[in-house]
Amino acid sequence: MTVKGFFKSNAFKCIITLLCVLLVSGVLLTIAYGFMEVSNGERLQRAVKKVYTTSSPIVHGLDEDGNDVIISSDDKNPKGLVSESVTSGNAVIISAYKITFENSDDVHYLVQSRGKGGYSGGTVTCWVAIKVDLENKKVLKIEKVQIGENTNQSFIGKITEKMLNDFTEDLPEEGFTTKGDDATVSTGATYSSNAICNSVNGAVDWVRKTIGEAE
Amino acid sequence: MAVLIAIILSAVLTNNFITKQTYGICPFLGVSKKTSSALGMGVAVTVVMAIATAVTYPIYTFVMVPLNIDFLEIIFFIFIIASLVQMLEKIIQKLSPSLYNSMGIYLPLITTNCAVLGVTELVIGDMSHIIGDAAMNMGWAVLYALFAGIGFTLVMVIMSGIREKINYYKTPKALSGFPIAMITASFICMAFLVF
Amino acid sequence: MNKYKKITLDGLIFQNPTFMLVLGTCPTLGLITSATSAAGMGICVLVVLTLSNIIISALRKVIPNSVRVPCYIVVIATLVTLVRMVLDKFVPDLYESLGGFLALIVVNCIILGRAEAFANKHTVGEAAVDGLANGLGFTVALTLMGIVCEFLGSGSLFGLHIMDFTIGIFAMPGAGTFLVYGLFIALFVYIIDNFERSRRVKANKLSRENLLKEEA
Repeated sequence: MTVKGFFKSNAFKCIITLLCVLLVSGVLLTIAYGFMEVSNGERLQRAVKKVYTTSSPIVHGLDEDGNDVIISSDDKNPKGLVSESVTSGNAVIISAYKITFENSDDVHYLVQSRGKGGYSGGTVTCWVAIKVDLENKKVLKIEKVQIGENTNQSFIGKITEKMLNDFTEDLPEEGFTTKGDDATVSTGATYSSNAICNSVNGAVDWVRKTIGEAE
Repeated sequence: MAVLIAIILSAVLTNNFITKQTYGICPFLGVSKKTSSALGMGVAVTVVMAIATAVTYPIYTFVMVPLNIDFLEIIFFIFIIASLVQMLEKIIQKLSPSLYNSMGIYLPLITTNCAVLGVTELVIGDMSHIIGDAAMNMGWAVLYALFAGIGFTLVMVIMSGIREKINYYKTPKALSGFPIAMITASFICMAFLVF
Repeated sequence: MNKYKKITLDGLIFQNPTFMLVLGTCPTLGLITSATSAAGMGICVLVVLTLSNIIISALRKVIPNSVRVPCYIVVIATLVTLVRMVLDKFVPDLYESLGGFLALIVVNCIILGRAEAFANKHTVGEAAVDGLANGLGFTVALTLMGIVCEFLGSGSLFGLHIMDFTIGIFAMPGAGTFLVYGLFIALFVYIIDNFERSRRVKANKLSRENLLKEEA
């Protein structure tokens, strides 16, 4: 086949069409991505908004040198208080942030914690908001517990809002436990609730350690 | 070692592609009328899944993420899978005509099989629920794809065995064909729930 | 106009992609545990299917026959990536609930099937109507099954809590969704069969009456 023949052949036409289609779609997608990129900072803001539905929180993280810095939704790679997952009791702390508010002096720690011990070896990941007193180095109370993703927990739908609110009422020194809790046993979601308790206990322990609460 | 066992158990039994994640249902319902064809399809899917993951995982982690073009993953992956399947078909045809006769006919169907694209998308996502705190790498990714394929084959063969028996019985007209196959599949899934 | 009516009825009922042709089963079985995500998936497929039908129909004279399937796949993959970006940016909740099935729209047999069987042989207008009808058929089917599955599995409708009694297997993909899908197909086939039979009986009666009239 001559060179000229190749340029007139069907194969050449096929290759050019395919390349054109690929090029057009690639350019189109790149332009679209420029408009619609969702940065990690924005993802974090979304997760925080789900926990704090009524108030407007300011999220603090750490910068390169370990100084306190406010995370905005434009941040490409926001850095929380933990850079790598750490184990705390029966839970793994995935990320943690300090939260302050515009119109009050409250300081919260928002901890994303994956609790072990769910059904069929599964886990439940919770966002736990913990109110602290930084001056006296004391954990005051759990402000809110929000369930994120889970693995293998088919009964997670039975964990009601009321059960999660029970965590905010008082803070037992030895940690939360599911044993003898009628509310959880009667629904059948014992394993899921066990994993949630592990997650909350791990988060509280981690915050206690971080702020250096005296025994 | 613990990670290996976790991957095998999860991919084959607890998070089986058909019974738990419902990937690759089209061949599961379409090619499961005879045990031999179900086995051929299963093996073909397993091979393609492992090879596709071995190609896409390094391309994604070492080329697309550093270049910041990971948003093009769908186009890249489907193109890689489509050309891979074509290439495999040609290679098998050349090397072993007998293998081509038994397995090759299923290869063109695999391009539009959710299970292959599904596994390549799964392993680049968050796998921490399976491998725990261990770091993900290419070895685990390929192993996961391989065992997911084996799990797929297992359910395909079970299903085809039952469907061969169903053929001997009379079913109501509205239920014959797909509906009875789906109800059978439902019971297989219930059996897999014990894991 | 009659042509468009036939295309619409075929897509919605007589060639319904979910119940009659049993295509696109993976997202169906994976997502009907919640009516909201089932409807969301249906609308995503509707958008992608209509746009891909229009584009492929417009390009049908440009694309050489031997590379048509790769070209279709690229067009569909581009549309899916676009839909994914839009959802991620503006509807993050739906994006999360659809999960991996969003990317799998690319290999949804309905879309490639309509491109191969319809869009590359018909005009842009017909292809658009066909895409809309098939997408709507898919959406309605998924939403119906989603309502049943969610009601049995979680005791709620579109996320609205209704009753406390629930059946565990309907709350997750797998056993429950297979059962609901299978029974729905059986019911649909039964209704269509009866409908067609009654239509045939009516037509027979009409022709017999005409015959009698002619004889008289």
